[in-house]
Amino acid sequence: MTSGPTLVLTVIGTDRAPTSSDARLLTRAQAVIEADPHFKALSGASLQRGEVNAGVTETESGYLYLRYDVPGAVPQEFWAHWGKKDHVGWSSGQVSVKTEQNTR
Amino acid sequence: MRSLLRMRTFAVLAAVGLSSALAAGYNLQAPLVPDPKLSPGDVLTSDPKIVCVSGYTKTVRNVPQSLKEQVYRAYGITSRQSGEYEIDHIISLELGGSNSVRNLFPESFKTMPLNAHVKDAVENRLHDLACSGKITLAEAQQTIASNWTTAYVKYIGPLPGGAQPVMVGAAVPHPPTTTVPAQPSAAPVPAGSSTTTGQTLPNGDGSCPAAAPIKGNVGSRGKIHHLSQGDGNYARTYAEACFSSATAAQAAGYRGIR
Repeated sequence: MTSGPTLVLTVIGTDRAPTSSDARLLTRAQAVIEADPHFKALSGASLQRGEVNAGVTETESGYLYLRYDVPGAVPQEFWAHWGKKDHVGWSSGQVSVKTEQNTR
Repeated sequence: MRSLLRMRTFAVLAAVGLSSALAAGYNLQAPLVPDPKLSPGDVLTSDPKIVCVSGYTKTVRNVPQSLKEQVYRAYGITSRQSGEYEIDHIISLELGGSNSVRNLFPESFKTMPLNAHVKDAVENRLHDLACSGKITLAEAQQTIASNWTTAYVKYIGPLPGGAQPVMVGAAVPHPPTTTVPAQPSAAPVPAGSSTTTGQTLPNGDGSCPAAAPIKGNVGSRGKIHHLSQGDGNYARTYAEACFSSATAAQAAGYRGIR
């Protein structure tokens, strides 16, 4: 239930490339999502999409779009951002990832 | 003669709607179709076994408000009135569209004669066709992502108010056509024509023909039907399907009001 190694993080709304912070957010968000009991109940879910929405700041909901394919079931969409704590809102799909500053 | 009368009636209604929309200060230059450079459409799944299950759209999450605001900004909409727009899924959720920003655009309820209500009608039609196996879900997704106005013409009939399909940029993934096939594969049912299911398409202005006066509408609370008598919301409901009886509406999945 983890991402494939070839996932390409794309940025929408600007020409810039993903930043190292974006890449870290993706990695951390995956860990937070995949630790959630709801996610663990899914069979064979794999990360297929990671999109940075550049029109939203990285601390706002909606910043990083993640999509997991689930064989034979509804794909799961999430939006991750840097926040105060690690949290998954399973019904909303919004994922807060504790900022690196707060983890120290 | 009847069609001429209907066209005149619609023209009058459209004119009334246009003048009231102008008076209310709505943006009548709002985009009618998505900009393919900003949002070309995006599919979540093309599996009818997933999409065609009753209640499917409730299993798909909602777009965060901050992302909706991004879409408004991307389309240059810096101010709006309550109820003027929705952030629409280009490939609707009921057709397997995704919540990616690639699949979102601001669509006005107030432009005339083409607006979000009219697009809803073609979304519902394509869903019915795809989920009854008359076309593939992928075909439905492709056609609505290409240009919903041409999809309307192909699968429903002439656009309301005598409108012509809107041309979009050449960068559209699947170039639209304004040519109406002589015999569409899915044989659209003209507004007012009865079917064996008691369901017909609404008139261009969102009303229902006398033979099938019950209005079916799909909203945030799901599919609901409205009776012409005893239902205070009937007059203002924009029908997306019409039924000859409440039983027919229920059979099509439209529940009564509570």
